Amino acid sequence: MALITAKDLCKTFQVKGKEPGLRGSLKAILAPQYREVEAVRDLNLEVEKGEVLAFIGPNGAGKSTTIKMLTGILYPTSGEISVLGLNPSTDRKKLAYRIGTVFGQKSQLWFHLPPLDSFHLLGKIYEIEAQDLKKRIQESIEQFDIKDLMDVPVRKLSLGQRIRCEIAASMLHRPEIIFLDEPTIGLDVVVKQKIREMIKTLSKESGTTIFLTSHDAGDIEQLCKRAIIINHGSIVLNESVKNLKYNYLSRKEIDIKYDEPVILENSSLKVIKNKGYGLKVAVDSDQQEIDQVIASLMKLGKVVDITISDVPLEEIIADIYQQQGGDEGRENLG
Amino acid sequence: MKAVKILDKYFHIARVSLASQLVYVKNFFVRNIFFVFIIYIMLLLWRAIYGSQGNTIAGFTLTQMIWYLITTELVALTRSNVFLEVSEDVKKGNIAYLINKPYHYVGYIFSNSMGEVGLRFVINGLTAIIMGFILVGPLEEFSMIHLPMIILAIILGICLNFFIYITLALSAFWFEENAALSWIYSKLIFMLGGMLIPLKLLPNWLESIARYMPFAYVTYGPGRLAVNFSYQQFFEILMWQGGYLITFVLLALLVYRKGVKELNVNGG
Repeated sequence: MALITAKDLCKTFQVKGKEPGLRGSLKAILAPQYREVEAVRDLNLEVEKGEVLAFIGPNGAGKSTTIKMLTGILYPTSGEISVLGLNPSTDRKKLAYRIGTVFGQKSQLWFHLPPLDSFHLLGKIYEIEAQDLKKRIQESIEQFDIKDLMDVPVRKLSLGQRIRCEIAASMLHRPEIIFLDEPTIGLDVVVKQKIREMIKTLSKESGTTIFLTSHDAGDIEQLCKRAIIINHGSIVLNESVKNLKYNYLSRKEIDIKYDEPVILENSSLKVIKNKGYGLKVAVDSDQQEIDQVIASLMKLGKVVDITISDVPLEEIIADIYQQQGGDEGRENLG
Repeated sequence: MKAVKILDKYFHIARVSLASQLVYVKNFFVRNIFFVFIIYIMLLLWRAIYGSQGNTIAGFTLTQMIWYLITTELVALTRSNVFLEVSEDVKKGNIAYLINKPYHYVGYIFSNSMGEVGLRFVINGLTAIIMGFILVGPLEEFSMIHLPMIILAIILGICLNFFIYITLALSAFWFEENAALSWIYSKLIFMLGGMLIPLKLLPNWLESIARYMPFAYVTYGPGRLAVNFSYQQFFEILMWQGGYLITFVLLALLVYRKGVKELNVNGG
């Protein structure tokens, strides 16, 4: 059975419009004009128990709005939601005991106090028995390797250290689902990797269902089995990460370096970069034979170095935004 | 059992808030300079007025007048920045990250503020007593037996002040700019609340209106009890304070309940 279902979910915001300039300001006072913005429209999704799902999309696609509706913070304009069999809008408090949330850009820890104080407070808020809490804090400390951070005021922690504590904090009440909104935003590569390991362990050891939003293709590639891509408030793709990559796997990039400048005459190649000595071309192996392309590239001059690689997931996703993102996406391409 | 857990939850929020506020404790003392300054100016002003008007004004001696003003200032200054905090939470969408936990937002803000207010009350209270003794000396007919009841009235005044502020602040769900409400309210406390002058000095018609308004029970009530205690007055003021406190608690809850459905939080 699905833990999360959303049916024909819509959220419309009323935005007060104003023309630029003083005249516009005066006009807005006399006759305010409201514009409707559809942040989410006709969204349908299901998440199974134990699943790790990536929810991705460009800025303003409706990711956060959807998470906020699923956790009961925002009331949907229309449509139905069920999370753990509850309606988030009417049972927000009941639901809060059973889900966890981490917002990468907002802290739930007290800024001036060490994380341990916040952990104890969360224990009270979620009504965890004192003994259980003690045990769980101990477990978290070991699992997430945060022993040394426990008595340092949060304001003195680095972002990566803080996020580790945030995730540990949101797991204290043993939620069945955890919503992670941009957990790796602003982190360096090493720390990102550490956070990913943490999330992996979480999913493996406790079987927690994870609903993750991210901009980072690495997060999705390493953590998630399924990805939902959303743009302009609607789902444009709902597929397993494996399929996602497989469908685009036929696309390769060939990076080739010559020891003298070459002139490319074969116009059927899609050139990404041409710097005289070096050439980068994209090939779709469904449409062109790879060996022929390589052969023709070899003929151009003496080859010093050659690399053939898959298109990065990041580009695949960017491509999907642009192909399926509706008119605005195409305008951007234009 | 459940009720105990819930109380424990809010109590713990206040405790953590207090712990967090202790980081700023020096700041609190600096703010007290303002308190001392205001009262000193008042003393100079009233000393001049008493000099030309005689021994009592509106039934108060100079000593009583100063203790009265110290008490009203104490109530008015012993507050957190709840208006600004809640308005900003709502306007900037921070509230989204505060309401996804199993507690009531209004209860959370109250507990959170009480940590700060409690600390401020202790510091301001000590300042008030020391200042009163140094500037005008002890009140003539003061009895220590009445002190707990006066403190109760002061605490109720502080709570009433809090719930009026939070009710006004929650209007941010509908208004983009609601700072005017806070400004108007603070001026009403000044005049109709008797913070600046005792209500008796107002024109009769205005005084009789003011006595029915909630503002008088924020500051005037506790101030009056502090300098001129009688049991009859104590119970009367207590009834008014209790009645208005319940009214504004319910009003805050109602406004929150209506407002949260209007919540618009973009992006994030």
